[in-house]
Order: sequence, then C-alpha cells, then structure tokens
Amino acid sequence: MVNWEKTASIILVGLMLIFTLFPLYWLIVTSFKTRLEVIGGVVFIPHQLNWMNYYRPLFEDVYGAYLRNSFILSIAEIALCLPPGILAAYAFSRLKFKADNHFLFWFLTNRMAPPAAFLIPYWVLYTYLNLFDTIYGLIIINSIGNLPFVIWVLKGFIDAIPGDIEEAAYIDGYTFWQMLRKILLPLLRPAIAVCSLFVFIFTWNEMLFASLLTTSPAAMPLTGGLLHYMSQIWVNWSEIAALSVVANLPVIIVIYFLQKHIATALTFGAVR
Amino acid sequence: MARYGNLQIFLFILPATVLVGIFVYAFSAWNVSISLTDWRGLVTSIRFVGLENYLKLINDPIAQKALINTFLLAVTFIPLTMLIGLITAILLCLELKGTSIFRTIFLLPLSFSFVISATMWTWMFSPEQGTINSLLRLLHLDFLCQPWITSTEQSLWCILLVYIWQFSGYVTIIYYSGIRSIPQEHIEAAEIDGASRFNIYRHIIVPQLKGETIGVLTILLFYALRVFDLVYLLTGGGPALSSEVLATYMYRMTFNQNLFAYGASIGTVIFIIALAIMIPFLLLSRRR
Amino acid sequence: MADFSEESFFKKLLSYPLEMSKVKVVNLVKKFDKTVAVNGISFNVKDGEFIVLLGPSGCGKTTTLRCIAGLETPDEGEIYIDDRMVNDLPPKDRDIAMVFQSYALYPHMTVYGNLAFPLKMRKYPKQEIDKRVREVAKLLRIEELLDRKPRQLSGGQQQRVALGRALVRNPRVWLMDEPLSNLDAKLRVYMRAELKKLQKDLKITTIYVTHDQAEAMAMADRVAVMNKGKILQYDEPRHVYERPANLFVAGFIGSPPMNFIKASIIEKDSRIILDAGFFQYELEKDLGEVVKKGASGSEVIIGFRPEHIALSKEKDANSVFQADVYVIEPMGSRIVVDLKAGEYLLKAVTPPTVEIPPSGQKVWVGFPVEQLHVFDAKTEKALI
Repeated sequence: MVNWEKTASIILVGLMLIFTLFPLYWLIVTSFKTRLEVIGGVVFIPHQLNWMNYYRPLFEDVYGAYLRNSFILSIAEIALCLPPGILAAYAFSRLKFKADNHFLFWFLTNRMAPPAAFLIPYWVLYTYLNLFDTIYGLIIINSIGNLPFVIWVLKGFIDAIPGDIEEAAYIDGYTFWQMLRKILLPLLRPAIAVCSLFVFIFTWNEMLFASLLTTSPAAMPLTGGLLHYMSQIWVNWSEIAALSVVANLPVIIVIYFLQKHIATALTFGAVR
Repeated sequence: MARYGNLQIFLFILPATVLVGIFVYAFSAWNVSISLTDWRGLVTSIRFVGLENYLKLINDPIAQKALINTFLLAVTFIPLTMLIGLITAILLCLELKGTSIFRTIFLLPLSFSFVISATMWTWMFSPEQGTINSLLRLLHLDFLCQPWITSTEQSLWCILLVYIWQFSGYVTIIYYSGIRSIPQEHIEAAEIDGASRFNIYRHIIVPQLKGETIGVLTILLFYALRVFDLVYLLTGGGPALSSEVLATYMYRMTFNQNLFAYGASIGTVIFIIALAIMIPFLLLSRRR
Repeated sequence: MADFSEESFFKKLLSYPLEMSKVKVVNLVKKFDKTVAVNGISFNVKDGEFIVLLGPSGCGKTTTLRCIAGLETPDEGEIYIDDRMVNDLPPKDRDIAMVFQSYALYPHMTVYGNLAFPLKMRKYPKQEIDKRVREVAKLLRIEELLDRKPRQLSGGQQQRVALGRALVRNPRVWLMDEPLSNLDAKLRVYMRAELKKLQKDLKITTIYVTHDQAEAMAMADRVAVMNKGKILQYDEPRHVYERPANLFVAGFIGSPPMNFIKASIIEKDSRIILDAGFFQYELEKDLGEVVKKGASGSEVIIGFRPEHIALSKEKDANSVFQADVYVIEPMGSRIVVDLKAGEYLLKAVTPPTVEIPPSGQKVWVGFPVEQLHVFDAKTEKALI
C-alpha cells in the first residue's frame, strides 16, 4: 500500500514540476536561439548560446535604460514605503482601536477597485501636475498600492510582539524613538526584510501603470518596455525571451531567499 | 509620557495613510462621477447624463458576455487552483526530500510578471509554431493539435490554464505550511485509533486547514473578480470577444474607443460586484 | 461523585467486555542516528497489571512505550502482546490505545466526535458507536461536555476525554505517556487516585510512563526504574523503596532523596568498620561479612533516607555523628532539616513534634542499621 502511494505521489509531483517549469525552461532556451531556430520548429537545445539576444536590447537598444528604471523604482519604493509603513503599523497595532475592523475594511477595499479604473483619473491628474512620464509619478502610484500591504504585514508582526518589552524600555528611561530604534526595529528585522522584498517584487512586476503613465526611456520600467516591444510589428521572439529572463532574474533570486517567509507574510492578514 | 509620544506618531502617520485611502476613494468617486456623464475623452464637451451609461450597459450584449466570462473564469479558476494546490501540498508532505528546492520551484510562476507569463504562454499556445502543437507533432499526435487561443471556444480555457499555472504554487505553499503545522501527535493518535492514511487526510488534516482555506480563498477571490492582465496580454479579449472579461471591455472602451464615461461605468460596476461578493464573505469569515 | 464502592459497577456500566492481555518485551533496542535510546531491555507485564516506566528524561521510557505502540520501529528485539509478535503490525492492528501527554484531542471535532472517531474508523455501526460513546462519557462523568470542542474544556476535562477515547475501543493494552504532567498539582494528585481506581476496576493492562517518582510509587503494581536505556530494577514499589538494587534507584526514589556518604571498609581486629572520615560506623559481624565479600574494592557509599534519621540534642545510643544545623524548613506535617557534616549537606525529615536546635547549633545524628544501605562505590550495586 505504501509503495503504491509513493510511486503515485512521485509521478504526480513530477508532473507538477514539469507543468510548472516547462514554460520557464522554454523561455530560457528560446532566449538563446537564433531567429531561424525559433521559427523553424521545435528545437530543444539550441546549437549555440546566442548571447546577442541579450546584448543587443540591453546595450545597444533602449532596454538597458528600462532595466535601470525598474531598479530605481523598486528600490525607491522600499525606501519610501517602509519607514512610514512601520510607524503606521505600530500605530495601528498598539493603539487600541475599536477601528480594527475599519482598518481591515480600508485595507481590503483599497485592493478591490479594478486598477484599470484609475487610469483615467491618474492620467489626467499627472498630465496636469506634469508628473506624466516621470519616475516620481510611478513612485507615487506604486506607493498607493504598497503602503497598505506593508502596514498590514507589519501590523501582524508587531501584534505578535508583547507590549511588555516596550514598557520595560520606558521604565529604563528610553524615549519613544530610542525604544523604536534599539528594541523594536531589531526585533522586526525579519519582517522588514520580508516586506522590503515583497515591495520589490510587486513594484518590479507592476505593468499596467508602468506602461501607460510613462512613454520614454527616462522613466519607463522594464515591464512597460516589454509590453511595448511586444506590440511592435516586427517581433524578435528570442530577444523578448532574453529580456524576460533578465526581467525575471532578480525576482527569482529574491524568492529563493524569501520562500520560508512567504507563507507567513501572505497569510498574516487573512488567517487569524 | 510614553503615551503622549505615541499620540504624536499616530497623528504623524495617519495623514499618510488617510491620504492613500483618499486616493482610492476619491478616484473611485471621480470614476463614478465620470460614469454619469457622456465624456468621450479627447472631446471637451461633457454633459451630465445620469444613469444613461448604466442603462446602456445592462442592454449591451458585449457587456453581458464579458460578465459571463468573468464569472466563468472566477468560478473555475478558484476551485481548480485550490484543489491543485492542496493536492500538491499533500504530495510534498509525503516526500520530504529537498523541500526548499520544491518550494522555490512552485513559487516561481507567481514571481513572473504577467508580461512574461503572457509571452511564454502565447508562444506555447500559438497554433503553427507554438510549442504545444509542435511537441504534439513531434510525437506524431497531430490530431490532438488545437487552435488554442486563436479559437473562440478554447480561448477562455487557455487563459484559465495560465492563471492556474501562475497561482497554484502560491496555494501549494500556504497549504503545505498549514499541513506541517499540525502537531505530529494528532496524526499518531489517529494512527492508533485505526485510521488509514487516506482517512487521516480526510478527517484530521484537511478539516484543520480551514484557516488556510479562507486565507487562500480571500486572495484568489480578490484576484478573480478583477482579472485583466493575462486576458489582455494573451488574447486581448478575442478572438471575436470570446474571452472578453469586464476589465478588458472597460479598457477597450476607455482607451481604444475613447468612451471614457462608458468605461468609467464599467469600472464602477466591477468595483460594486467585487464589494458585493467580498464583504459578505469577509464578514462570514471573521465571525469564525 | 459516583459510587465507586462496587467493583461490578463499572462492569455493569460498560456493556462490552474488556480484554486483559499480557505484554512481553524481549531485548528491545532502539537507536536514533548514533544515540542509543533503548539499550536492550526486557520485561513482562501480567494480565491486568499496572506497570510504570519511571526515569529521568532521556532514559528511554517514552521510546519504549512508542515501540510497544508501533509508532517507532525497534532496531532489535521483539514485542509480544498475548504471545503474538507484533513487531510488524502497524499501530492500528495492535489493538492498543494510547493517551498522550498533550492529549492530542482533535481540535476540530466535538468531544463526541473525538470519542467516536476510533469506532468510526473501525466501521462500527452507528448505533453501537452512539451507545459506547455515551457509556464511556457517563463513566468518566463528561456527559454534559459531549457537544463542546476541546478548546472549551479545562485541562482535567480534556484529560478525561483523552482517557475516554482510549477506553471506547476496548483495547487490550493501555499505554500512557505522562498523561498527568500537564495538570496543576492539586488536580494531578486527585487524578492519580481516579486513574488507579479506574484501572483496577476495569482491569486493563496498563503501561504508564512518568518521570515523577511519587506518581509511580502511588500508582504502580510494579515499577521499572530506567536510566540511560536500561531497566535498573523492576519490582513492586515497596521493594524498590526498601531494597533499591543500585545507587541510581536509591537516589531516584524517595523525596527528599537518600543521603549518600563515601566511606572505606576498614578491618580492625576482625571487626568491619566503615570509615567516612568524620565518623566511623561498625557493622555487625554477619552484615560486615556480606559487605566485605560483596565489595569489589574498599570504597563504598553509605546511604540512608532522610526519614530514617533520628536527631537528638544529646548523644544517645543511636547517635553516630554530630552535624551543624544549616537550615530548618518547617513544612507543617513534617520538618525538613538541612545538616552540614564533613563536606556533606544532608537532609533529615522529622515529625513536627521533635525539637530541633536552631540554625548554627550542633545536633546528634543517628540512623538505625535496619535502614542502612551500603553500595559498592565502583559497581554502584547494593551490598545490603
């Protein structure tokens, strides 16, 4: 009985793995192919590694700029969302709110509106404020989405820290800021790390506003760039594949370090 | 004195969070207000027309199709993803070798930007040169080749597949950690009580996953009602509107046809539907 | 409280017969990686007997229990239940029931569900399940709790549900892994008696694991004192207390523990004397011979229990040495006196009526020869 179970489960896990990994494998493989190989049929392993597919868009074309923009944007997001997020999460957590349910409601409804519905208002607003096609505009709009998430997750973590520690600090004579810096922040380090990485991923992968609120290499992130590339008439699939691999690499690295915490962070709010 | 310091922080922070909230609510309100006009984008004349857009919407056959598609997608996507995720999680628990590698692998699809997923799967689904059909031809299974996303019958289901691909890893991870958190002693007690492996899952493990299930359901529900990205990227709603969903319809109306007001009304409808489903759900799950 | 006076009361309550079984463990060895948890132990359990595996943490008692349950596979040795070797049987086929230290109640089921689960798994008909569950609930006085979930119950109630779940299936053997250790002190003492009575009336063969020697002494028909994977002594509590087989058992049983003093055997004019430095103790001729013959060298350890010490202000016939009174702990029903003698800190227990000189003063200590224990310093075996 147990053997049967084991083989069946190995097969099933194998199938899941193939299902999950095959597109990625294909992507990587395609990124190294020449145009002929791509069109000519099924080629599992290209004859040579055609690094041109990577080199050209990044260094000769404008996509390197897009990549840079993505990095700037994502890192700026982390810097901008975390500090206020921590403080807000602290406020929400420690100060006994009857508004706990209201907070939940606020947080969730923030995410319920279809993002596409905001395009018009933002477009108009940004044009008016000269924020169109700037990194700053993107930063603001990403923060709107990231802040509630950060507050949400951090609140969960702060809830789990007993208030006794702070009270001990006050008795010892710390001011609030000292307590925050010396006691709370070190305790929250894993949570902050996880949040930062999540913010990074969300911002990095954000596509809708990235492509529509920017037009030039000065501000457009890679996701937007990819979208534009795909809507061109003449499409070099292998280059797209290469760009996609590059676009995904940071995220994959981040996920590798994050995997233990993903379950905790993502269910923190939803599972009580 | 410490409490006073807290109050300061409080006041300092709340404006920021309130501002964020306002952005969302103000813009939603703006959206609603636009939907009550006949704004056509670049044209400057705007007239207040009341609920005319909504009436148009109700009678619009495309909107109806979009609504049906949205629901179809949601109703199939959520249970299937949860089921696949749960089964994979159970299987992972039986194996134990190299768990962190598996975890990373199963989380990968989630990490992809939708653009990239769309790129990959468009290529896989393409009828002539696409990977799936090419593979089938290679295996001499030509008769199984399908038009996939270029067909009106299959387009929606291809999109469904991609969504399941993208999200089931997430479900797997959540369920996996849930199963792992059940104390070993419960399982041992059940063994002594005479339960077979299957019964242990059925009676002991799965019922204790209620919390995780609600969490997963919340997140998936959130997503399912507002699907846009992959639909837009894979099929654009086509061919022939066969895979049109509400969000893509809104997008087309707004940006391709410049019917800003009409688009806004669709957006509002999406928002309302989402609220109508999520709020009762949340209230119910909170009561538990 | 229900009327427990009649033995048949319980039998009448339960409409189904209860089994009695013998258990035999032969040469059980269990290793975890490099550590040997159980190092070749063998013992028998008679029908209807209540035996306790007693020892400090890490001695292998829980591992032994789990091997008997089938939750661990032994590396060597055989386990027999009723002369049937069960090594290859999974737990559910061994017809045993186990009560875990944490009770392991299924949190998502009601008390009824928890009690019914074992029967449900063995596909008993619904009516039978209902009948048995209600009988057991009545027996353990948890009837009003049947609709509640475990988290709504107190520790004692949860414990009774765990017992009920073990009972409802009419198992051959009861296995218990420190089931009382999560209860508060008062409840623990109460449940000790309840459990023992229950076992006596139902006559189910029981193997019970604990690190609490008072608990073991109170409940067991026989106690197996274990340390480092071996059984050091397996006997009735009375004998383990009065005649410990070795140093460890002597020091483990009894609270406060036995006092130990190192001494050497000296022969002087064919008299055997034990020399402890700050006093000398002469042994009677026969006793002396036994000690001299049994000892492997000349070093021994003298042991005497605190409750067998006699304290007096003036030297009398029984007095052996003088000690300083260090601390007096009046406990109400008795007095515990800490004494300093030589480089030893000894404990004595006296009835509250005895007058003890205050701390700092000297007192004469005596112990009767009948309660004297002598252990070989090297082999740690008891000589007398």
